[in-house]
Amino acid sequence: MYLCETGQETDDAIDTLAIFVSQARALGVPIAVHRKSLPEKIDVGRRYDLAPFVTDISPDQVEGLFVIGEGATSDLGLRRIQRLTEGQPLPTTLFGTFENEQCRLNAAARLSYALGRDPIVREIAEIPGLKEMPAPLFGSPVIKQPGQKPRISFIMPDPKQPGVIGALRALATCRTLDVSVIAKGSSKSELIKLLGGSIPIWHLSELLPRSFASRIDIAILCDAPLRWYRLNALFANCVANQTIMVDATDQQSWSVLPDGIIPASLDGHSLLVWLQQEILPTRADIAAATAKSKLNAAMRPPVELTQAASKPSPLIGSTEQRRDNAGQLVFMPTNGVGLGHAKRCSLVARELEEPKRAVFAAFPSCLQMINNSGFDAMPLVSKSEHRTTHANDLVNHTRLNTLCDGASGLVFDGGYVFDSIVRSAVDNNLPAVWIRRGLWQAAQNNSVAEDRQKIFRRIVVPAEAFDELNHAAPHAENAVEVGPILQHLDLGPDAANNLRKAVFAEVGQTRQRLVVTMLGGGVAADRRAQINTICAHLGGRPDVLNLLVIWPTAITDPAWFTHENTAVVQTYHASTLIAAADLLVSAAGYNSFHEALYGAVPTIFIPQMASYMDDQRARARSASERELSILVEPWETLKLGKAIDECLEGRTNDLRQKLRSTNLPPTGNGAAARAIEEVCR
Amino acid sequence: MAARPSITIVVDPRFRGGTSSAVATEIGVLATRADLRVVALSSRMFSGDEAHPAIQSICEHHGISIEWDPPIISNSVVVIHNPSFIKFDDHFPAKIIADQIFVVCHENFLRPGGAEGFAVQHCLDQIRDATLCRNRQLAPISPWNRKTVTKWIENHGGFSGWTITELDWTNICAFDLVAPTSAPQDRRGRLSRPGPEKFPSMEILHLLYPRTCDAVRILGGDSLLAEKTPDAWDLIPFGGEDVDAFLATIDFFVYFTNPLWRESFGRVIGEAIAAGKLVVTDPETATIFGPGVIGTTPDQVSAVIAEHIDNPDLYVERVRTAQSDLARFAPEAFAERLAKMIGTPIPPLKRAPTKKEELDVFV
Repeated sequence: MYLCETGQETDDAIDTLAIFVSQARALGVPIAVHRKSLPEKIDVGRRYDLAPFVTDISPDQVEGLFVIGEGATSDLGLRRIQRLTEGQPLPTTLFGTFENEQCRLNAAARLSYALGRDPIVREIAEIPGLKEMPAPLFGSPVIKQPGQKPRISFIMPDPKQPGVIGALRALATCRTLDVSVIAKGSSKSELIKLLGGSIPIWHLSELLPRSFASRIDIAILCDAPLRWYRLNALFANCVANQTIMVDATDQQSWSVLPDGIIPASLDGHSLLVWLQQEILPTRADIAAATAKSKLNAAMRPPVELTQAASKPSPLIGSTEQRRDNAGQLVFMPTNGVGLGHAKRCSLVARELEEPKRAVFAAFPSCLQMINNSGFDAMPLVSKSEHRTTHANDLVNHTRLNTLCDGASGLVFDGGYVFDSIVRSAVDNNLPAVWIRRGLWQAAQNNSVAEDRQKIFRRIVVPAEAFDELNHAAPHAENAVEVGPILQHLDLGPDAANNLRKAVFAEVGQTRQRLVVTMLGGGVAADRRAQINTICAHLGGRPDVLNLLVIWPTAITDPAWFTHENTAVVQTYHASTLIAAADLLVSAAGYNSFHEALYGAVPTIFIPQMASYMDDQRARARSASERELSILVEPWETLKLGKAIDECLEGRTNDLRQKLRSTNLPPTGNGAAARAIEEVCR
Repeated sequence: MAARPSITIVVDPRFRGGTSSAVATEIGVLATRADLRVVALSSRMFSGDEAHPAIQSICEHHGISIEWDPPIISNSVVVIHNPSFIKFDDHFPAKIIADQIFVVCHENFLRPGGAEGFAVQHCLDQIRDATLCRNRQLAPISPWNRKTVTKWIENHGGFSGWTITELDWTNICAFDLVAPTSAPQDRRGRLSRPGPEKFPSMEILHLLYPRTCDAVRILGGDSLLAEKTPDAWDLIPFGGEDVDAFLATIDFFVYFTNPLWRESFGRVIGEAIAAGKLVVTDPETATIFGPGVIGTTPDQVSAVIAEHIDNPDLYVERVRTAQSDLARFAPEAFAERLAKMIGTPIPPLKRAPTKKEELDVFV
């Protein structure tokens, strides 16, 4: 294995390090970055870039060291290298651009003091027309999934430049093209304001250059070359992978490079016509010419890297896609407030033509439930208050990335699209599907969700039972609505009665009626007061067993255990218990709401509300307005007792009868599975 | 009365280090015995327009005006100190016409291991192209420095237009001598600028300064402040303590540089010897100062020190030997060698400079 180190500590240096290593790894070089090479403070985006490449290997297992960076290594850099090598004189190659011979000698000498041996010094090859590089520039192979439509990406457009917005709009409205934008700095947010959601807009730092390159057939270069290794690596990857390179800058700044770049104008209409008439019909010829161009030849990797690539390391997996993941569909539900996302995913996975294709990556609280459903699951790491916000997702990124390598699709169910999801899907060039239930709150900040929906080939929206609740937000052209996804258990009177008896026997109490209380995980709001009210109120009804169902991660109250006819259970079989209940007192989460509705279970809904959740109140209100259930607000504790009494004194029969006579839309479990299979073959 | 030699010293005086201190001492020694001019050339290596305080002060003391950046320098003897100062320049900043030109090689041409110490050819070519003279000579400053110069020339298959002086152009050491202690303890220390070339790896430092020492003091240990080091190591930033006071707190001056770099002279060792300390260093550096300085390998340092703690008489004898060998670098010895090199006698000093007149490396 080889290690790579930048002799500097600046953000730019770390950015270059991340990109260089990712490029080299894609070439097949068994290269990594030692954790000792990294400063404590690194931009979050760079942490994600670097996460798959960080190691803490012992130097005696290291074949050699590559040092990149601008000019001589800093004092801090030298100390890092000393710590990293632990006195082992590692064979080292220093890549640099040196103003003169003295600068070259200085850089080599300084490095030798840390290494304990003289490094080999390699001058970075200059590519005429491009800015000086802090590391060798070369193209890496990428796997291009053939797109249905030609994928055209505008690179670094300046929204203030006349003609840019017009050109983007002109191409975006063309149904035969798949247009995207890769922006820099604040341009991304400016472009989003101007263009809305009509075009996927990326910031160049959101993904690795090789991930971008795999998604581009024609690159429209809108800004002059910059001294930004990340941008130049994207350029190199495009060239090396036969992307058609179009120079649309005012000054034709890229056209001074060796052959391989086609000059064009950034005029919207004429650009579209030119692409359609001149470029698209001859795409294959142009790509072949790019492959033979001097420019492509200039993007070859340095010999030291190709030599290193010929020495695979058992410590780093092959760059070839993992065959054992072939055909695999990776489901990644978040754990949310309860287990709803994981439950929904398992229900959909069961409906796949080949359920064995499904493999899960899930948080610890969901694992048992997923395993009980018959699926294997790789554990993810939950957020910890003792670590930075992104620490767990960084670990999850590396795990998910491994699981996705070579798979045929990624299915996500959740509200917040984590960076790990974005990167794992795009880095592995996977078709991604988002199971995204609706009923988002009006005041909710959806900017991240709206932005990140660009990675999903399809968005599957499980419908709500009632039409007025079905307003998909945010809007997405690739959204597919399916019926409510739920576990539909309608036991029937005899089976329900038998199950109730079994429950009474299990808890050792002989009662006549079963009330199931299930007010949520306690993550969004503390429900101890309401639960205590229910327990106390039911304490006066000796014929009732109050089965208090709590989530594995919920906060419990010792008082709950003091009520004679209340039994506290922690279970993954809540759906079955709901089906057996004479009365359910429940939060109005998507799954429990629909399970109660479809199972015709009389229910008192106490909505759980938080700014980041779906609109449980609206859901509960829709059912209560139809007199299918009762809505009690969390603060209405007196009303809660009264509602329980009403129900137990006869209203449950009315509710059950009304529920049974209500027409509900067919469930969408199967349709969701088909929608996923269509894009993840 | 014989004519006084006419000498021009050429230097970029902005260098903050031992070279400027050595040149300042040389100016002090020659000021009253030669017709001396001091020319300052501004190279790209340094910024600012302030000469090193030691050079400024000695010139003021002797009423010598430093001439900054004259286009032409002309004298019978011109001494260019440290050719590496023009390593970042494209052209030598002046033309020189002289009978004899000496280029004093303060920096080693090669580092241990054979890599070039600086862009030697680039610098010497600039000097050659800018000078008109009868005799153009490279003047090594120590036996080790001489080895690197000759080896470099050998590597280049000769070097026309240059000769090498037979004698070393040594630093001048005119320090007041302090008697060594007769009861040495295991109190070790070192001082240097904090650059990475001055320090060996942490593993070697642990060999040199083990936990068993009574005291370890490192002046100029700035780069070690960020490292995990034994609590017993007293790390003092460069310039954080007076050198005399610092040397008074140790008995053994244990000085090893990075194995891939070596002092060309080691003026700091001369100071430690004068302060009555037993110096332990690498064998090549030790050779410069004679048998009173012990040359050994890092793993043998503790044994050497233990031997001298057990035998205080041996300690005293060694230090005194080293101190008497310092005479080779005294002003009179330097003047004698210089007279031989330039072929002109140099009148003796009326008195030797006192310690207060001597300029410290670490000013």
